[in-house]
Amino acid sequence: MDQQESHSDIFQDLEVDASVQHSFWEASRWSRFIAITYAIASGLAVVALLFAGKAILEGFVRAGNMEELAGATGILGGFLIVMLLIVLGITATLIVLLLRFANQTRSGLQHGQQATFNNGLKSLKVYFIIYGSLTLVGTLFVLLAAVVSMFALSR
Amino acid sequence: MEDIGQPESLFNVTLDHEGKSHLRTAATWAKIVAIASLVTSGLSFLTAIIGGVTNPGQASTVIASGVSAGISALLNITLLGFANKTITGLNTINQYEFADGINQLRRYFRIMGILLIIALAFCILAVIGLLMSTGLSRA
Repeated sequence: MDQQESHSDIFQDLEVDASVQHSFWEASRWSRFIAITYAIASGLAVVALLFAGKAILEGFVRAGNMEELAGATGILGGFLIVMLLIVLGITATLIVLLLRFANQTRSGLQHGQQATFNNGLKSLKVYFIIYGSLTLVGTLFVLLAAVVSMFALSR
Repeated sequence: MEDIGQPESLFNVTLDHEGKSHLRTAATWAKIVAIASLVTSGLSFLTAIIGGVTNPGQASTVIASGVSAGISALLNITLLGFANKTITGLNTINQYEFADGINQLRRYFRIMGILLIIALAFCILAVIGLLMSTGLSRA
């Protein structure tokens, strides 16, 4: 009996037991909701910007000297479109990764498919890598802004 | 859409080497996200307070920044809990810590989902208010 107990201790490892399964199940459910909601909101935002963007640019042209602003409007519009495409691309990537985590983890747990479950965890990993990189860049900008504002206040 | 609430399978999945590797990396980056986000929200709140002190008219900005920082803290402390407990559980092969870590991940997504529902409700109310005011002004 003691030998059997020590034998099982040697091979003791982490398990995806009922509690962990339930947590993953619930996490996948909420992350699927978040991903779908963000996808719909992003789509609506793009549609709104497509209509509002034109109005904003037209406002620029009407506000001042049309000849002088026409060129600037084109450059500004082009820059805004590029920025928008980058933001959209990143958002879409994060949404797809979150959705893959949700669907593959759920499918893996439901059907006992190890490879699918692992792919779900891989999607979660990549999601946090991209999210983490963006957060670090954002933190850097906020730090710079804080330093600049402190410097401006001190003068 | 069937939602049985609990996976039913005769063949449960395990946490193999590949799965552990993915989880460990995910938890490490989640820790980075949590700490960086906490620093960002703290700095933003501090900047808003300093701005509010120098310009008393910006009280609403300070309050909004405070609420935002509070929500960020709630979310990212939960994420930090997932990161720390999962990494500890994986390193020490502690089932309890590992399960608690995954539970924190569940809580993180649940909090995010609830906040999203609240934000959606506010957006819908804002759109309705805008439509009503536009309708009234035309009348």
